[in-house]
Amino acid sequence: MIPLVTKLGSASIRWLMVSFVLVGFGLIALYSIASDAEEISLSSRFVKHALWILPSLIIFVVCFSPSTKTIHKFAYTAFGVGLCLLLVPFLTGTVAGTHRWISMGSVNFQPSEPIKWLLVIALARYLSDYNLEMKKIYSLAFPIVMVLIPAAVILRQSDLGSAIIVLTPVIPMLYWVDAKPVHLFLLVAPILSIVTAFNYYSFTLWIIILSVILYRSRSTLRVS
Amino acid sequence: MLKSEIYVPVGKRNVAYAVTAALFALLITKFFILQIYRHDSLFEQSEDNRVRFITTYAPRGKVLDRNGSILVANRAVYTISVIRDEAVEEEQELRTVADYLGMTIEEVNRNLNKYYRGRFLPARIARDVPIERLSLVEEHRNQLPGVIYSEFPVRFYPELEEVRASHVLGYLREITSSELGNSDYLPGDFIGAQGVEKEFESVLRGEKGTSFQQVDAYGRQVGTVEERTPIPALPGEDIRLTIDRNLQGNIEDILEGEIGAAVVLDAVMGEVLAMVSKPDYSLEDFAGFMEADVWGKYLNDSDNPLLNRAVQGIYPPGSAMKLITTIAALEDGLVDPRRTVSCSGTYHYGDRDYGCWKEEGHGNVNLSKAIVESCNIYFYQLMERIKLDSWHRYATMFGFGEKSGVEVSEEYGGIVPNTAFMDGKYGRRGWTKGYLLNMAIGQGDILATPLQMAQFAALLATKGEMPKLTLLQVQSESKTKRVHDRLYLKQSTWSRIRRMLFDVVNSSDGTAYSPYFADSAINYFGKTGTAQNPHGEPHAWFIGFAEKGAKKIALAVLIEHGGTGGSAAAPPAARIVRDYFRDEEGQLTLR
Repeated sequence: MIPLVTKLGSASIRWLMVSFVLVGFGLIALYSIASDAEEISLSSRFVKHALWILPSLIIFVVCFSPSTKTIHKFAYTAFGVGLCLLLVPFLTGTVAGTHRWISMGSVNFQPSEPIKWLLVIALARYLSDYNLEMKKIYSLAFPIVMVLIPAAVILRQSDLGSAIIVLTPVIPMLYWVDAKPVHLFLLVAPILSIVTAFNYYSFTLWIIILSVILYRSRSTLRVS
Repeated sequence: MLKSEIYVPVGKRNVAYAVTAALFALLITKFFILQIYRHDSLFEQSEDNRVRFITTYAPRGKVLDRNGSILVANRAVYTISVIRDEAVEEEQELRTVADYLGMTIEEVNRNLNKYYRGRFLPARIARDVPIERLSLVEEHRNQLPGVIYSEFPVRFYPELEEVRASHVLGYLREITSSELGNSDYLPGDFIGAQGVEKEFESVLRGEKGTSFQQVDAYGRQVGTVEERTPIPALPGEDIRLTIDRNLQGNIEDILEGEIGAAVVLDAVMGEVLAMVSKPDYSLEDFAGFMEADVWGKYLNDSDNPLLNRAVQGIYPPGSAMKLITTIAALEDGLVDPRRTVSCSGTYHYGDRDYGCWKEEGHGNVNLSKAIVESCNIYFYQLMERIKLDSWHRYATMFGFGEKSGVEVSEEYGGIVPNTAFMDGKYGRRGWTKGYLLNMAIGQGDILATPLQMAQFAALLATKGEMPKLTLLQVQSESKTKRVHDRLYLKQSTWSRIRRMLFDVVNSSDGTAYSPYFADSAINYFGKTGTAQNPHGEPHAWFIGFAEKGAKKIALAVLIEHGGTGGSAAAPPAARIVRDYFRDEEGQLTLR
């Protein structure tokens, strides 16, 4: 196993920075919405929430420690466990009227949080393990199903926001493994159609863009 | 080497960087707008634009008697709740508020955990708060952010001094976690637990509303939210019962101190005019939030005041069942009413002696005398000729062995044995005809409720034409929807039964003779019953009906361990009938 320090040293600083900048944004937002933010003390709401950074850092280090090979080896198992955990709230009853949380005394655990990154890792393994012909549209089927299952369960928990977050990474990941951009476009087109349909001008604009793209991709989309 | 560690084309990597940079640019722009560009205006808004959702509870529908008198209404009590998200120093606040309310911090925390539904929603910590304690909390509102009060409707009984009707009206109790399930009830809601409160829960409960309060960052109310229209609470619907408050109250007085039940029906309409079970309970104890020790007192009371004996008490019906035996024999042509039987006080059948209540015997008795004087020996001999399943069929025709369907969810159906029942209980060879002799006089395995007995009397009064029983007053045309399966017996059977029942109360030999009715315009009919039981004195029964003009009422009175029907149940029954008709004519004002 590569020592942690060595691993941290070889990590992409740019991507680590992205993570910490996002955490910084979160803290600023938290500070501005906490009504008692002016009085910073251990009991103030801002500090109480901000203190969660400490366990988060520990979890970050723990997750960062295993080698890439170890992560690769257990990617599917971890995803499977994550999927099972997603179902637990349906068995343990509602918390605040939804099935989002697993209640553990004074702490509630939301299994849809870890599934977001467990899915990305499992999907990465699938896309890297096989010599998939990503130019063929049918190669997209399995990754899409892999994403839809947890998304559907999370949607059933009444958590539309998390369901959308679970769905989103599949598009850039498929792009990364050489899926045809026009195929990816077809995947998101229905969603964009729904979003733009609420406004006459945006929908008209969308239809024009759609028509142009479909016209330019006619040779790619032809079914022989 | 893993594929992920393979070199990625520069072009693709640049696209990834570009997209990430674009998303960050979007995020930073939005952040800049919110945190810096619009800071002042948003800060100002946040000072007074927080919206608090307040649940407004719907008053339950009122319950009226048949003449429109209000039996159950509502009054408001105050409750104190905490919105955890708005509490700044939660622990300190809870201690302070506990002090103001005269509660311990443990009680407050227990309620807070019990009714907690989320940080942003009020959790009730105190209920039925007296106005002086509420004032104390309100005076210190600035030091108690997140502590709010609201009104909560509870039941109120404006005529409780005159009429209790506890078991008919029933009570509410706090919903349990198992009942919450997927319902639209919330923890802490009240739900009908007995009587019409339970039966008509969906009609009475109404719909909660929501009001929107604008509060500042410290939870202080600064106004209402103009953009959001409050959703008003919809009060529950009122219901009008068939109960006659005067009659109900009068029977409660007559039976005071007894353990028993009485049911009076409008035999023509099938309406329950009164349903009394004694001892009863004080509805005021159940009106709001019940204390555990009061509930414990009721549960531990050996007289079981929570039991509605009128529909849940099942007793051997005693000699009133001789009427079923008579009907079965007359209809199947198994008896010559003029033929006499000699009653010496005992009857030997099989290997045992069966006794008559009159130890010296009745002498020669025919059918009429056997009913009027309630001779057991006559019916032992008659039962020898009747098949059990035939007897069972006539009993069930009159509603025994099944629930009447009156709108009281706790009703029991009682038991009417048939061959299958006896085989199941004793085995095919485990019972003999001797078992049935007891059933002929309403003893043994047969059990009935006072309501079933009153229904039996009403069907006799109307020659089987009474509609199905109801507690809910509806338009007269709806009566057709409640038609009982019409009971067809020979006209001669109806006439004979009627004549015999008349003699029971109007002949000096009758077991329920009452001279008052001989000189009255009221035609009064009845039958006594004395049901032996292994727990002490016999249960006393009287069933009957009375007519005056177009009015026709039927009734059943049961006195647990009261002694004989003639001495313990018939006198209160006679008084009920007499007072009812005098009240109807304005000669007597009940209550």
